[in-house]
Amino acid sequence: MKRLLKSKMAAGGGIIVILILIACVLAPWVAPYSVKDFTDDLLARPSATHLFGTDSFGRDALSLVLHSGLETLSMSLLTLVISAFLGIVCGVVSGYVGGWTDRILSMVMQGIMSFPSMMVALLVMGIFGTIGRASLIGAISVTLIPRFSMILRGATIPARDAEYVTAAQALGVSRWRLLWRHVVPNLVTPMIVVCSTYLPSIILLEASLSFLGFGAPPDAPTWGRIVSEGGKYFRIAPWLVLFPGSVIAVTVIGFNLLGEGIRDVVDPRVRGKLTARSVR
Amino acid sequence: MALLKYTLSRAVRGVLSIFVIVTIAFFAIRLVPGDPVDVWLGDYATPELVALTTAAWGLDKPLHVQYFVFLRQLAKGDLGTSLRANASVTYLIGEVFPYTVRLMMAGALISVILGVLIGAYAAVRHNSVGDVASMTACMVFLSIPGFVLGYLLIFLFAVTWRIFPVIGGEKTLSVAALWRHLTLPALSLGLGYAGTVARMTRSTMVEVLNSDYIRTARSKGLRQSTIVFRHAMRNTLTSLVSMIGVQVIVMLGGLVVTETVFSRPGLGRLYFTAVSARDYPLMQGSILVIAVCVVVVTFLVDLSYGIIDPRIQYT
Repeated sequence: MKRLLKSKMAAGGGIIVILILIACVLAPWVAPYSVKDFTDDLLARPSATHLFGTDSFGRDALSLVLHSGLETLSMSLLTLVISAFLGIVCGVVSGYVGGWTDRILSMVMQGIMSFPSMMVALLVMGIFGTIGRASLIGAISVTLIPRFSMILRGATIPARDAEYVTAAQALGVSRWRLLWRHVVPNLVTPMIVVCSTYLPSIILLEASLSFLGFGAPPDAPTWGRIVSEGGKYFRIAPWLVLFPGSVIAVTVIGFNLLGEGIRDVVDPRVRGKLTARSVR
Repeated sequence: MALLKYTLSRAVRGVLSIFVIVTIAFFAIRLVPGDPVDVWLGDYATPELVALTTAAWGLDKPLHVQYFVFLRQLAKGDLGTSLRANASVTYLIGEVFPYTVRLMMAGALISVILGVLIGAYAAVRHNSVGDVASMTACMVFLSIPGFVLGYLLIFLFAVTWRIFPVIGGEKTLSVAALWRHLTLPALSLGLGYAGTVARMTRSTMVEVLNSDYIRTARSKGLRQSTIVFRHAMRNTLTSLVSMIGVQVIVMLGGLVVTETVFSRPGLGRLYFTAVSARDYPLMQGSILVIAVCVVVVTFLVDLSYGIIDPRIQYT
């Protein structure tokens, strides 16, 4: 933790992330207007009263971005948690049990990973419904579970074959207790690394899907959706795309920097090798 | 001989994985009952119309029969007829495919050339101001969502300075038309990945530049450019090529957004329309084509290892 604070990158990223989180959580208080403030000032240019301009309903664009921030970020975090959990389960089972279970699971996982994430996510949403949080979270999870699973599988196998595990086995420790007490603790480090790598990708993928009109329902827009709505008026009101778009970019930069700082501290060997954007 | 055997086994494996992907897609698409008939008929759906359309599209047959019909058609090179456009899927894909190939090639060129040059520069000037500045720029580019970058490019180069047209695909293949219609989409597709390529090039290159044989080359008094591009680059190429292969596959996913922002005809948009409309044959067709692209790229990457690094034995 001390080293994390010392790393300039992590500190910079952390500050960006914390500021954005605070702004989004406190949106009802810090946002200059409510999202229900429909004014006659349609598509107004950015000015002192409306920093990001106003949208096609005359709503303050900055307030809109702030109010939808929590929705956007919590959705991404939830996706991370769900896919990490399912990925761990698949990966550990695959690596620990081995045999045919492992072979079939690995084949499916590799099949999904060989396809571009964006296309997989679109297909899943096409099948289970193009609008709605659950289907969006599910779709992104499907693209991520294999990535978690493969890394966890790789980390489980050496842990399974380690001598202290064999020793514990010889002492008659039960299989699940063995897994939980001796194998899982070794997976914490790779897990932190992978999570910090994929969070920015999740935000990007979520934004792209929402931009295409898949995902967030119109009454609870996410940032991608806001950019997509703004895109309709791009010729006359480019700020409706560029400003919320920059907010997404800054958020992703923040999480990327933070993730990189974490990786450097936790596992100096991977410095710079794992980059986000393996999913986009 | 070993090479031939290797190539053949890779090719067979490639064809197999295409088959697996297409089969999974075929059943996955039909997993949930809400079928294309409902989407197509919308509010006009009456029980008779639904039954009629379902029968006309062959969706009333049992799943395995549909699958065998699909395979038989596939063997003849027939991908079926699009439910929406009422045109053959092969025709629809053939129509847009050249646009996608050109965009992909231009995007890949931009990301590889820019990425490798910037990465090599940053590695040579390790820990200098130039290194930090270029890596920061890369971080910014790989963090911008594709559609935002696309809109930003349109805003700067098409709306403000009016250098390029805002939207559309190239109608002729003249250099001028390609330049006008391909530059912005290719930049929007390629710049983000250039950031990734640059960062990876830098990290592998830094490692190689610290190795003994580079020190030997230095002590021989070789020029910096010779050391970097002749000696160091050779040893980073294997990891670079495999990474570029992965990037190209990821880039295929970026097509959907780029083609939408620039209203370009292409495979990504076609796939997107197919998915939105639940146009089964068109979905299957585009998935097949994408799978073929993925497999071909992987195949080429695998083959290139031996050419780049003669120490690698084909097995």
